[in-house]
Amino acid sequence: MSFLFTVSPDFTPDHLSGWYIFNTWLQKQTGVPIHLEMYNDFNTQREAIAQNKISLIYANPYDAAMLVREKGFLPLVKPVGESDEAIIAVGAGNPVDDVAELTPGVKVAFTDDPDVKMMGMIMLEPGDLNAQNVQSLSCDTYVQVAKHLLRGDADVGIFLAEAFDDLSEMVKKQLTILVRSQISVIHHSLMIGPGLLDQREKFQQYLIGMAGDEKGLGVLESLGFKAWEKVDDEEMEFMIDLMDTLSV
Amino acid sequence: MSSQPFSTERNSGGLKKFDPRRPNFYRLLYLDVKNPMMHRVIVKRKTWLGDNMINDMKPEDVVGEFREVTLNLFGGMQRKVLYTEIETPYPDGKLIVSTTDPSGVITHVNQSFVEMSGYTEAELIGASHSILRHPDMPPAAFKDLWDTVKRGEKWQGFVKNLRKDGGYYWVKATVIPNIRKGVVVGYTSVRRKPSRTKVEECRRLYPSLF
Repeated sequence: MSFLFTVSPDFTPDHLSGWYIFNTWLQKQTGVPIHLEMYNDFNTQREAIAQNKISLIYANPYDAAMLVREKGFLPLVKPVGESDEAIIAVGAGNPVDDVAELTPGVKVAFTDDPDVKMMGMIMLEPGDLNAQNVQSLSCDTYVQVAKHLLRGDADVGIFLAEAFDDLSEMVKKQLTILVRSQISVIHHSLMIGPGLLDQREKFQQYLIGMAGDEKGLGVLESLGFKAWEKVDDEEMEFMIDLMDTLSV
Repeated sequence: MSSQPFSTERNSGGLKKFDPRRPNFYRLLYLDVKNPMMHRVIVKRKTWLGDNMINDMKPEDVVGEFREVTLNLFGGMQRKVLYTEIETPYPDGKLIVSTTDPSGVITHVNQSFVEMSGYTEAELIGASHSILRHPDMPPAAFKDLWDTVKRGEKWQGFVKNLRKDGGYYWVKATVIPNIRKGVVVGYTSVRRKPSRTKVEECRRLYPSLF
């Protein structure tokens, strides 16, 4: 029997193969049979979690509360120096240069990435904007969010900062950043769940030591990470509490 | 002198080697405020000494013309505050985060908290959260806050906070109880940038709540 591992569907497409390489490395190190299942969207992934199919997950911070409190998951590690930040941007031709100048009724483009959308909506609050008084334009990718802004189909875009920074220079020149979040403490985490909890310490040791090993370092590079660092239970609880305050 | 405040079960081990009679004892504590274990020691130490009875504000810390008033704070404390009409705008994209113990004594602050309040991290850790209390805030708001979080619920409101330099800043604050294994071990407060419309509403409303 193999355990099911999944990755938050907001992973960068360039790193898809990296997750498969990582899974192979993890199996080899731990001796535990693990199957990687990549879901296309958050809803399908959450259904699999609800059915107790998942034992290991690289989780979006938005799902962390549910994973810990309802499904008994515990944190393992997070990538060093990585945090989830959001950007509010408009088309470069838009005369607005402050969120406070935006008015109710504006069309906001975003993806279904839950923590980024939440941070983005918080950054729109100073303009008295909320989910009830904006027009929503849901997109599959951040490139689509940018396209809607360039075409004038949307007034405002909510981006994962990393995805915005990865847009081509030509596209970025045609966009203006109104706000970039500097929250620092919201991050994805690799989490271990029922079925594997008794091996938590062993997994943590292999993962933390990964950057000190030549092969491990190569695998980390394929994920776009420098190293993993331990996340203890209280740090995860703190982030869950923080997300809780932001969800209202 | 009893060393009891430093030798609880949670703080056992390495901390026992600290001798409060050593001349550099306090320097050692305050240098390492980012260490969570040290947070506990500092909070215990300050509480033991009554340091969370926050000090009166000093004219030399205040920038600009100020007014003076004595506030009656939670727990029967009083504090002389000096306040000006100078507003510090809330920075875009940032969150101000702090955690307190169940009695409202600060146990953690983030860098944005330090920058906006004007206090150092060492001054904040172990102090009562009332250190930010502005005289324009109606006591009813804080009573509502405490009543709400003590029921285990989230509280949200618009708050005018007092800086060390006598100035102020408005925030949209959310406070939640930190529940660990069914027990409230403290509270987390997260502040974000408020809308000017809401701030204007509060400016008009709050004087009527005294």
